Amino acid sequence: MHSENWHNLIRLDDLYTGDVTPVKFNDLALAVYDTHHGITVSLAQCTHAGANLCDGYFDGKFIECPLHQGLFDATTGEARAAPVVRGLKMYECRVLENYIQIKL
Amino acid sequence: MQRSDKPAFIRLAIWCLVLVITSTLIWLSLGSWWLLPAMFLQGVVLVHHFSLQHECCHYTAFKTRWLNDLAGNICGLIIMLPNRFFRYEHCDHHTYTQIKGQDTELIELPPTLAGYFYYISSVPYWQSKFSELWRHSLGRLTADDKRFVPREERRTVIMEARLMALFYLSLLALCVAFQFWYPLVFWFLPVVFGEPMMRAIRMTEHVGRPLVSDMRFNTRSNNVSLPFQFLCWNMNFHAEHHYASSVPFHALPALNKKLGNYIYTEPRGYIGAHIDIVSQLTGRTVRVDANPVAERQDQH
Repeated sequence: MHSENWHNLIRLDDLYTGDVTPVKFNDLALAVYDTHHGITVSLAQCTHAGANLCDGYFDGKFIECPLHQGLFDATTGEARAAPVVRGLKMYECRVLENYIQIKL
Repeated sequence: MQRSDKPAFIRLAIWCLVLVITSTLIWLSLGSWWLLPAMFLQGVVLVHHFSLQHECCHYTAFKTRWLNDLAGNICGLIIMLPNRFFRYEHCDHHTYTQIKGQDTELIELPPTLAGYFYYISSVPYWQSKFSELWRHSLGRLTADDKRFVPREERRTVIMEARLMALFYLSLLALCVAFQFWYPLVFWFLPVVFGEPMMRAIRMTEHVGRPLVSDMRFNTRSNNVSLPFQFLCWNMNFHAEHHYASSVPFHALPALNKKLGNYIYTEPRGYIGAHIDIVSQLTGRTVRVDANPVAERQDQH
C-alpha cells in the first residue's frame, strides 16, 4: 500500500538484521541499511567507481565500498574516506505496516 | 566474519617478539659468518611486513580504520612500498586479476627456467620499485598509474613518494656521516636478503593458474605450516581473500572451511605451487599461457 509518493520496498522481516540488504525497485538498485540509528536507504552504487555497496563491509553506521574501501556514512550518505568524494543519494524512508517504504 | 582489533594486536605482540629474537641473533653474530644467515632470517620476517600492509590496505587487519592506515604506512616504510599507491594498485589487481594488460600486479609465467630464477632473485622487483619511487618523487605518474589512482589522490601519492625518498636518503646520509651502520645491518640488507623469499611466495598466489577472470581458477590458496601462516597473516588463504576481500584476516581460516572445493587449494603448500610452476616451464605440463583464452573484463 502506498500513499502520495510512498512505495513499499521490502518487508521488515526480510531485512538482514544489522546489515545492508540489496533491493531492486523498478530500475533502481538500492541498499537498505539497518543502522544503529534506524533504517536508511540509498542508491547501491558507489559514487566513485560504481561498485555495489551491498557487497561491502557495514558496521552499523559506515558502509565501506568493496572495491576501493571508500567509506560512506550510511545514516547521512556523507562521503567519509578516500577515494569517495561525492555523497550517496539517500531516500527518505519509513516503516508502515511491517513494510519499509521509500518516498520518490 | 566481523572485524575486530584484538586479533591484530595479539599477532603484533608476537610479531614484535619474533623481531626481537631475530634482531638479537644479528647482534650476537656480529663479526662472524653467522651474521649472514641471521640477516636472512631477519629479512624473512621484515619482508612479511608486506602481508600486514596488504591486510591494512583492505582494512582487514584492524577494525579501527585509522589503525590500518597507520600500520600500513609503517609497513610500507619498512619495505619501501608507499602505502596509498599500493592500496589503489592492489585494488585494481582485485578488479582485473590475471587479465594480461589490465592486472597491474600480474606476475607472468616466466618464459624459461632462467627467467623463473631471475624473477625470484628479486632484481627485477627492486628495479621496478626504485624506478617507481623515483618517478613518483618527480611527480610523474604513468598512464597506467593514472588508470587506477583516483585524480583526488594523485597529489597524496606523489607527496608520499617524496617523503619516503627523503627519509631514506636522509637516513643513509646520517649513516655515512656518523659511520653508523646498524640500519643497514638490521634493516636494509636483511630486507634485500629476504625479498627473494617474498617473490617466491607471491608467485604461488596466481602464477601458473589460468589467465581467466574467474577467481575459482585464477587464484591459488596454499596449505602451509603454522609459522608461515603466522608470517603471512593468513594470506596463504589467497583464493578465499579474492573471493571476499573485505573478510578480516583472522576469519580467513573459517572462510576456507566454508568454501571447501569451491576454490583451488594447493595441498602441498608453497613447494607444491612451485612444482606446478616449474613443471609448466620444463614442459612436463602444459603452460597456462599456451592457449590464451580471449577474455576481457569491462569495468566502469
